[in-house]
Formats: sequence, C-alpha cells, structure tokens
Amino acid sequence: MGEYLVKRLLLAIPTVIGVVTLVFFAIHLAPGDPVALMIPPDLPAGIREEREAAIRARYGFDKPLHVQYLTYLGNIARLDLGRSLRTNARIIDELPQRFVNTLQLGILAMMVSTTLGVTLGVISAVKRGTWIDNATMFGALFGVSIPNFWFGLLLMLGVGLYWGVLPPSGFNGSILTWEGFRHAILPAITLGTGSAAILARFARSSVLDVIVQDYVRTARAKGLAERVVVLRHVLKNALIPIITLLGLQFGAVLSGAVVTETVFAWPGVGRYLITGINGRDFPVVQGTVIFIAIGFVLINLVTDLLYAYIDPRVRFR
Amino acid sequence: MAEKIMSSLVAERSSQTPVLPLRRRFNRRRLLGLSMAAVGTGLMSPLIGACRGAGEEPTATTAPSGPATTPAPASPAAAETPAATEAARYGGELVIANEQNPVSLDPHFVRDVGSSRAMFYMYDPLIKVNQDLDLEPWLAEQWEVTEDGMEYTLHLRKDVTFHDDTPFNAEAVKFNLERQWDDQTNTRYIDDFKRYVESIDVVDEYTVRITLKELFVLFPRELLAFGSGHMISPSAAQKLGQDFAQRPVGTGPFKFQEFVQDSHLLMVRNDNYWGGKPYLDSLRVRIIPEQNVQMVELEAGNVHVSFSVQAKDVSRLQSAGITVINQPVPTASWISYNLAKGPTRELAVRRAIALSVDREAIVREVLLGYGQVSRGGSPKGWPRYHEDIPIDPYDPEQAKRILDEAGWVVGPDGVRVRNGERLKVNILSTQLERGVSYGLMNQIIQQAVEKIGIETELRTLEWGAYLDEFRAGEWWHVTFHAQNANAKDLVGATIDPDAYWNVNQLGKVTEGELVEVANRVREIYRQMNQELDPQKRVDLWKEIQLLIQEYQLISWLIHWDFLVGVRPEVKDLVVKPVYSDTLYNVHRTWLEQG
Repeated sequence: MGEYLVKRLLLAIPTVIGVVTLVFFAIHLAPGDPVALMIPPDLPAGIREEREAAIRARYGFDKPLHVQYLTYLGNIARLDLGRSLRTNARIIDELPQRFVNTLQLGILAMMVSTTLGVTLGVISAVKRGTWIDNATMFGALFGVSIPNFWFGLLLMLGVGLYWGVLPPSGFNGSILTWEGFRHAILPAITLGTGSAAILARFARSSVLDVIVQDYVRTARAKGLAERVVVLRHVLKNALIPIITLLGLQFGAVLSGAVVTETVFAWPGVGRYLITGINGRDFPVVQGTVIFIAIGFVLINLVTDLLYAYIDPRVRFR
Repeated sequence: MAEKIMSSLVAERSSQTPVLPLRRRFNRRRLLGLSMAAVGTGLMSPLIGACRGAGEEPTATTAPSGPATTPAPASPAAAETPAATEAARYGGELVIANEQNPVSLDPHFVRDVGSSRAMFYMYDPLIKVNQDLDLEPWLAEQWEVTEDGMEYTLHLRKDVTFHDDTPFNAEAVKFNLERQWDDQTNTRYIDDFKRYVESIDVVDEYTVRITLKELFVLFPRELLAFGSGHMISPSAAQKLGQDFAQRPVGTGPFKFQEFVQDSHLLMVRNDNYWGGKPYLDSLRVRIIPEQNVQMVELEAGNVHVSFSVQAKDVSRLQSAGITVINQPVPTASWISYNLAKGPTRELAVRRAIALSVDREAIVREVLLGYGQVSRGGSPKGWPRYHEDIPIDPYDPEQAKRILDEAGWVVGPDGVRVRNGERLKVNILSTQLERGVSYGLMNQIIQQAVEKIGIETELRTLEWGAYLDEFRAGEWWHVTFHAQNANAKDLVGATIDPDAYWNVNQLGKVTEGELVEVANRVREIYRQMNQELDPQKRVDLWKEIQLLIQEYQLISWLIHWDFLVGVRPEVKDLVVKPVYSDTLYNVHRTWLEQG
C-alpha cells in the first residue's frame, strides 16, 4: 500500500505541471489585455505609451512568454502565486480561507447528495418497475437536467423569501455555528441536487446488480426479513462502487460551486475565479485553477486509496 | 493551508495502512456501517416555492427627482420622515447591497463606481459633490482659485481627527496628495497627478496651496472630490505601508471593522465624527453579484438599499412596500460607428442606420418606460440638453431613400449592392449589462438595419476580448455602447479623437471630410480643457453635439433611469443622481426601529 501511495503521488507531479503549463499559456494567449484595463481612458498619446510600458515592466509582461513561464514556475515552486493585478493582495493569502469556505459548502452538499441519491437509488431498485421507481428516476432525470443557477434562485424565492425560514443568500462564518449552518443550507441543497440525481441512478443500477446475486437469494432463503436483506446484504455490497463515484462527484461538486457561489454570494474559490476572469486578473486565474487542480488530484488519490481500503479485492488483484 | 489539510488527510490514511489485517477489516466494516447510517437518515425533500410572475406594466416612477438644475433630489423616504425624537433615531445596522468587491479599501486605489459606493463611508473628501452635483465644502471649508486656474488654496476644517486620533491638518493633506505621485505606491491617480500637479505646499497649519503644471478645469471635481481627494491617516499609512488597505483609517462617519472578500464589509459608527455622531450603529455592505438575488434580499428585508433595480423589478418591489427612487442620471447609450473602416465611413450609411432604429420602442419595450429617447446625448433638464438639437426619428422609408440615392440598390436577395459590392456591416457585441444589455441592443440594431437592406454579421465576445477587438478597429463597423457620465465627458461618449477610448475611431481617419471634422473636434476639446467658465464649456460642447448630429459621428439612442430600491424603514437617505459615490450624508440616515 505504501508503495502504491508513493507511486500515485509521484504520478500527480506531472499532472500538476501539465495543468500549470496549460493554464499559463491558455490565459496568456487568450484575447484581452489586462494592461489596457489599467490605464485611464483619456490619457494622451505619449504619456500613455510610457505608462503602458511601465505597467508591463512592473508585472513582467514585457518579457518573452517563455521567460514569464519559467519565472512563474519558479515562483510556484516557492509557493508564491503572485499578487492580484486588481487588488494587489497576495493570492496565497487569499486562497486557503476561500478553499475552506468552498470545502464547507462541498461537504454539506455531498451529505445532501449522498443521503438523497443513495436513498432514492435503493428505494427505486427495491421497488423496481413500480410507479415509485418511475417517479424516482423521473425525478433523477429532472435533477440532472436542472441548471444550478435556476434551481438556486427558485429555492431562494421559495424557502428564503416566501416562507422566510432560511436566509436567501450570504455567508455567515463557519458552518459549525448555527448561523453559519443556516446560511449554508440552501446553497448546499442547490449544489447537492445535481450529483444526487447522478448518484441515485448509479445506486439503483448497483443495487440491481447485487440483488440478483446468490448470497442474496441465500439470505432470503434462510428466512431473513426483507429489510435486513436489503440493508445488511445488498446495500453493503452495492455501496463499494458508489464510493468511487462519490470521489468523482466531490470533484464535480467543487466545480459546480463556481456557479452556486456566485448566485448565493458565497466567498469561495469559485467566486474568486469568476472575479479574476472578469477582470483579466492573470495571477488570480492561474493561481486558482492550479489550486483547484491540485485539489482534484488529491481527491482522486484519496478516493483510490479509500477504494483499495474498502474493497480488499482491489489490493489482492 | 488547504494543501496542508489534504496532505495530512493522506498521511493519516497512509499511516493506517500497515496495521493488522483484522483491524483493517474492522475499520472497513465500520466505515461501511457509517455510510449506511448516513443513507438511513432519511429523505430530504427540496421544496420549491412558487415563483411569482413578473407581469409588470410601466408604472409611474416613485420619486421623479430633479436633475442637476433643480433642488436636492431627496428620497421620498426623507420626505415622509415623521417627527421622530432625536434619541429614537440612534441604533441599527444599515445594509447596502453592492454587485462587486471594492477593489481596495484604500481610496487612492479606487476609481470605479462599485468601489466608491462600497467604501467611501470610512473617509471624507476635501471637497464633496453634493446631491445637485455641485461642489460643496467638506474637509476644506473653503477654497480659492487664482484667475488663471493654476493655483488652488484650501482652508481646512480645524475640528477633524482621523480614527486613530492623528490630527487632520495641512501636513496630512500634503502627505495624501503627494502620495499620488509616488511610483512605489502607484495609486490609481498617479498619471493625473504627474501630468497636472506641480507642487503642494503647506501655508500654515490649516491652509494648503496646490499649484498646477497644466490647466485642468476639472481639477477639484476629478482629483479633490473623488478617490484621491479622500484623506487617509498619514501615520497609519506610514506604519502599515502596503497593508494599509487591510486596516484602513480615515476621518469618515464610519470606522473599519471587518472585510470578508466576496461577502461583506462591516463598518461601525465613529462616535467622534466632526459632522455629528452618526445615527446608525453600523453599516454593512454586502457583496451580492447577482441582480436577482439582490432583489430577493431586498424584499426579504436582509438588505436595505440596492443600486441594481431594473425596470422589470419595479412593480414587484413596490407591491412589497419598497420605495424605488428613480434618478434621471446623465447616462447615455448610442451606436458607435467605425469611421475609419468599412461602409460606415460613408455618411449616407450612418444616416440610414440612425433612421432605422425605433428608439421609442426601445424605451417602451426594453426599459418599460424607465428612460427617454436621447436628444444630443443628454437627458432632459440637464445643462447639456438643447431643444434645438434634432432627435433622429424612426423613419425606415427615409433610410431606404437615402441609401437608394447613394447608389446602394436592393439586389435580388434583398441586400443592397453598389458596383458589385454588397452593403454589409459587422456588428460587435458583448454580454455586458450597463443599464441595458449590450447583447439585446445589438440584436435590435441588427434587425433594424437588415430591414433596410443591409447585410449584417454579429459577433459576440467576452468583455476583455470585446475591448481588444473594439480598440483594434479592424473588423467591426457598428457596435452599441452605453456609459454613465464622468466629470470629463458629461455625456459619456469619448468623442475626442486622441483619447484612448475614442468611441468611433475618429482619430484614425485619414481621408475625406472627416479629417477636417476630426481636427475641429480636437480644437474644441482643446478649448474646453482651457475654459474656466462652465457656461462657455457647455457652449463648446454644444458645438461638438451639433457636429455629431450633422455627421452622425455616433448615433444617440436612449437614456435609461437609475433605479435605487430602498426599504421603507430607512429614513433620510439621500441618493445622488450619479452612479459613483451615490449616497450622500449617510451619517444623517437612520432606521425606524421595530
């Protein structure tokens, strides 16, 4: 297992370098000059060029692209993601707290999606072919198709405004406090529903695979109650493939947070990224994407390890 | 830190791997058991509330306030103020919604609308722009200008201290203004100060003299009343250096408490404010980027003031008891033509396009009545509005005749042709929303010009890419533009051929009568920048307005109203008819309790 872990960690390094390279060149080659946005619109010719040159020199934009790239790699190695062009704040100071905010939302959303998805999937499989199954799967299809943005606004209007039971938007500190938690409920539901729908469909097929196995028939034959058969024999085995999907879904949830965070005014990584993109804030976009990429790599790693850990067959193979 | 969390998670897992198989099995079971418990906690039903329909119809504006020429456009909230006792006014937290983070909490780095609305409450300017958009004494109780406009003497208030008890005096002003020159600090005003300001001298403890290098008639308005004119504590700035923006110190009615990027900025009352103790305990600016969400929060009562109300929201907000203040602001929107490239170099084509757009319909259908058709680029009642400048009527028939006369005849597929060349304009668009949606307006223009036999190609780009393409001026011929006024160009559009943001590529024209027009516009701009008399500047601007009309350098379309939503419990809130630094005298604003 130790060797497996080391191997996986080493494999992550080229992935991260690849992401850094791709992001760097994609951003620098995309249209939109950040320097142009920093110059007062009515600066007369002469002074303007001088000023442009000064700004380029200040941020190193006057150097050839490959030099900028190597400098950037060097800075990253020293954990220096640079300063925001817009606010001048150090990016490495900004990202961790935002990551924690996004993570809080992500974890809550995963709780929503796992609870909802797996429960619905199991019910639907056990009641296969009945109207309950049809209704659940229709609901799942609906859940997959519904845009986050729209669903969030709907929840906001319904639960936040008309019933007034939860705050419609905003962030109020850690979700471990009551006020913080209340503010996180609606965005978490919004974020969790999409992947709940995917999980429900997956859980259904996974349970259907297991339910026809011999040991399930044996369990029934020895006279166990159906509830016990489903919970102890079917579900336990059906959950194993679901764990893998959970890891992938966690990644999807974090990327879905870009939209949800904007709608719910949640100060997470996604919001930071959007603000950076809109302001042509190169360092912010680069830093955030790299941060997210590393997060993804680590989540996948944890999922793989978890999978090997839960299902001994993976390790014995 | 996140990496730390992740790596410790991985470490935790890997440290568990070398344990005995039995222990491992136990943990695996427990883990599966736990996940089942999570599943067993029951269903959660996301309940969807009914969404109220938006069957809006144009209702009368709640508070049509006067333009610059009429007295203070105080809010209706102010007008309805009951005779509440002075003591009952104290307390409460006013929550203002803002679409974006302030780019900085240091006013010298603030030059945009969104930031100024969010953070100026912690500071005071030397000179204030009041609700009539006139200059008003503020930290400078009076000021004098020499006849040539080159020297300003400011007499400062003597009863002001910064939040950190640093005294406010001439030295503090000198420090603040000289900070704008500093290459190391690199404020947003460095270009202007280097270009216009010669020296800043302390005359005595409360008198400062500013000498200009070059005449700049808008100097007090641009550089003493906006970002660079807001005073920061010299001792705090020296002590904190680059970190000043994290712990800002000013003289304003509210003191900095906390700023969480993308969430909120919290400011608390400055009990020792020179203008009197503010009524509000605190002021919270919530960063809510989505316009719809701001409306929900306003209705839910979690936000008191929103600057992002759109025409479609008005009747719903009003029925929820919210006051919508309608401020006619000097906004303008227009069609920009590329005068240096393509068919829009030709006057007949520009004139035909100008006649093809139904401006009344835009005001009626898009703005739901909350706006007006533009005459010369200025809304009615503003100093630069002149009845004798004609409005381009909606007359597609006339447009067709003009094109016919210019030799553009309709071909078999409906597109006009001349000497084998098809009449085609490229329309550049973006998704930006500034009062009205650029995307929608460009589509309207596209449909209008196609009806008179002009072929079009519409290209929609993201804002940064749009700006690149627009400034390059190679591909596009027509694009919609909208702008709120700034002090330099009170109608928003930058017609000056030498400006970086010249909206019609006039500076690039090299042939035909437009070369002469460009030179005339240049000359008028030069005179305007040297003219100290405001009335004469209005007259000079009128010459440009007439040139624009005659040569269709751009085609004016509409002015949209600036709608501000205010909850009924907010009293004595004064909304200025400008986008930036919109609220006036927030220390006199109070909340009706209960």
